[in-house]
Amino acid sequence: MAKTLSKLLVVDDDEDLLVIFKYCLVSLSDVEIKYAVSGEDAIRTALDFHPNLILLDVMMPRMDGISTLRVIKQLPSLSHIPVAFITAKAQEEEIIDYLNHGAIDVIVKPFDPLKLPDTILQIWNHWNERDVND
Amino acid sequence: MKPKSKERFDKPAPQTDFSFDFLEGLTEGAVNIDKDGVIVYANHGFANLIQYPLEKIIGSNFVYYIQENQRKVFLDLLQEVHSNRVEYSLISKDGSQLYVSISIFPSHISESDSFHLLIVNITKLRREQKLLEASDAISKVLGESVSLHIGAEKIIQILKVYLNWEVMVIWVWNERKQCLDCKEIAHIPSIDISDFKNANENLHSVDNLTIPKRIWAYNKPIRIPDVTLEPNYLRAAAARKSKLRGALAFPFFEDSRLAGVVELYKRDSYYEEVDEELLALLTSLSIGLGQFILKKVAEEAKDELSTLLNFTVNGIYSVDKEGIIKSWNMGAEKIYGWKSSEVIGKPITIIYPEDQLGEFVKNKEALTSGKILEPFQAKRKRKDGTTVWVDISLGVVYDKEGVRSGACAVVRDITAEKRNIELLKLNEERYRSLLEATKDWIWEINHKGFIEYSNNSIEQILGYKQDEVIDKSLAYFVQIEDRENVANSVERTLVEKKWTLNDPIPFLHKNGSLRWLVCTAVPLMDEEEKLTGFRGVSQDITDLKNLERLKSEFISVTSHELRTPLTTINGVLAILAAKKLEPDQTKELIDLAYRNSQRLSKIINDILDIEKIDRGILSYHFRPIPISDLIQEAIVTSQPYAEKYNVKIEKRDNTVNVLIHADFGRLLHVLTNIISNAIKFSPSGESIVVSTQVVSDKIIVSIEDHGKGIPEEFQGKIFEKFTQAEPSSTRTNQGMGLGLSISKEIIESHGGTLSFRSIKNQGTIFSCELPLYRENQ
Repeated sequence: MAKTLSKLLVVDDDEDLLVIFKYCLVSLSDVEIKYAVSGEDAIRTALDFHPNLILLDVMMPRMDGISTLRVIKQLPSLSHIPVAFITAKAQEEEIIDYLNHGAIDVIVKPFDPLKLPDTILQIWNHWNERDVND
Repeated sequence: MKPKSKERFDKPAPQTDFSFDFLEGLTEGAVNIDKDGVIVYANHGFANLIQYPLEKIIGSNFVYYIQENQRKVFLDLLQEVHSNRVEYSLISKDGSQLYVSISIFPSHISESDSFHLLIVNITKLRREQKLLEASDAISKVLGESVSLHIGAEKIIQILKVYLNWEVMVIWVWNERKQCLDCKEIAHIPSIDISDFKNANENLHSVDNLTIPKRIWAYNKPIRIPDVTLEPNYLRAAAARKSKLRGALAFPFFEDSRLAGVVELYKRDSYYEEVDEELLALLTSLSIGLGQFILKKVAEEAKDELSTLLNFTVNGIYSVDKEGIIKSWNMGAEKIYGWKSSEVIGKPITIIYPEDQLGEFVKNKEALTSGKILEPFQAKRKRKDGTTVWVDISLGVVYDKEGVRSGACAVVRDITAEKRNIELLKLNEERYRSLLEATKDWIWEINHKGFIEYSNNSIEQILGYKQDEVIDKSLAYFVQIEDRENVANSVERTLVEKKWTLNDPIPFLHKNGSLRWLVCTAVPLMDEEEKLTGFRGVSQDITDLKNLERLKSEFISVTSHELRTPLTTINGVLAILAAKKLEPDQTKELIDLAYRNSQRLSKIINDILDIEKIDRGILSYHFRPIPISDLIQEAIVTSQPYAEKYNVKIEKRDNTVNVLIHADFGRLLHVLTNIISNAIKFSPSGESIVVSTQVVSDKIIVSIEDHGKGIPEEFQGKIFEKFTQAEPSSTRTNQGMGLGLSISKEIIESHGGTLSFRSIKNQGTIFSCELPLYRENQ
């Protein structure tokens, strides 16, 4: 039985974009969503919040998405949390690179904000099915 | 017409009382004739002369013994009463001709007119005389004739007149072939001897049966009365066709050496004896002819030689002891452009360029001292003043006495060769300079893979001196982890004789930095098609690689920078379209979209500006503006951003109406850019300081932050395009890395400078130094 997505962490240094996230993720009424504006902020929030899934921007000042992912994977209490990148930096080889670093999927900016909730759920379900099969 | 014996002897001898007893003892002929010419008396002398018996002579008419064409003369003379003496030709019984001198004395002893005739045989005298004349004439001809052909023609005409010879064949000994060559056939014009000519030309004198060969063997004259009847005469048939009968052949000499054979032919049979006189003539003829023929042969050879010399492409000329030109062939004419008529008698120095006259003196001295000069190459001057390069052999010329009389030269035009060599040298030089001028590393490895040649570029590319790389392998110069791989590849290449290392290879510069080289090479083979190594070119594509990386980063950054605001705008529009919102929500979203579209246009403007700067077409609208206005505006513009980062902007500007000549908009762009950078890198709660300071005719605007400072390794690249301090993946989310590059360009276009000072963990100060406005600006 697949787990239900109940906690989601969205990380993006672009606060304007966070506004968009907030507006379009309203439809995920059963999901508790928290936002972080930097890698450090994301780690801090995750340690506290224990999300089921993290959507992580790549291009962030100081600590970028990949560094943040690396930290997440090294922290025992966070390492099991699936992380999907949501980024405009999405050339083919970059996507391969993200997946190699342990990301479970990549959402490419610009994305369709109305479809974003479904996309997130798909990613979550996909991940869960895979988890079950394991 | 011979006298008819009937007529001669029919008449009875006239009676006479005159006693001729005293005449009987004379060896000369004595005859008494009557006025009609009838012989009354003849002595034994006369009978012996014409070889008729006396009894047949008496009573015959004297004119019948005289050659027919002379009879009238004789009879006419009898009408004259006085004595006279005339020479006549008499015909003897055997038909031979006798030359006689007849003295006529009229007789008054008896009543009837009669004449006493004293007849003296002058045949021999006459013949000697004729032979002598012939000999003289021949000598004259030999002296005057320019060729053997003309000489022979003239001689046979003389021999025809004096001795009735009509054809002359001259055979000359050919030492090389050891036989007699038919050198010349001369004949009188009135006779056609074409058959005989052919027979002579086809005759091989090596055959001992031929007359020439027989003469050659016996070394004395041969007389053949009638060649058509001669059994050993090989040309009998041809002679018969040409109607030749009598022949006389004799050898001729040159300096008592047998030199050839002369054959004489006539259409009559030849029974005359070869007496001493004829031998004398033949001897003198043979000697004269011998000298003549050899002289002509030598002259012809000389002519041939001179023709040869004249037509050779080599220039040949001679000078006397003083250097005056004596001879000059066509080759020389061609090489130097001077006609022989123009240069003979002129000093040889006319062909020496002014700066080569020393060489002339040197050559002259060397030849004078008897030195043998090796052939040498020299520069000479043509008639038209142009330079000609020649290969010269010089030799001394001696006269007959062995005294040095001058010098001769054989020259060959080597201008073209020289030019080719020069061209070759030039090409070689070109290639060499090309090899050295090229930025690419050009090298050769031997069959073992060791470098045998390297051009200079190796120093630029990998930092090694040329001689440091010799005898090293290519693998030696790559980074350690690739060494084995490259060494194996080179080895395989040498085995397969085909260059396969086509991918860029990471080489290590002597200073440790990585250099990407693309190597291409061709196999080098010896004559037996055995591989001796490879010659290759390695191009340093490190910059290209970096550029590629930059380009890829640019695309990545640009797409990110464009996509981020676009994502927001896109999101806003989608939400507005799909959801019913409260008015304040709607306003929030529209503000969001507006701000992001501003961001988008700023990025696009930056990209366009940098492109304009690159092309030098960024436009400015200069006017005098107070610096304080500019500072105020920049701070006001940056305020919202500062607030967002919780950074305070402190202004330290005391200037009042200090003017600069500037494009307000563009300088504002620069200042806000630098201020926003300072804000971005300031820790929260810190402040940045914007200050001004007038120093003589300049104003310095400084923006100071108290951030971490610019990393040292990045300081040198801070004004480069698309550069930011952090790796691309951690790049701050706003900025193309174009800001400082554009700013520097704009400040410099204002005649100012943009510089910075940065201390780690203390902060950075950017300083714009701008010239103050002057009235006449």
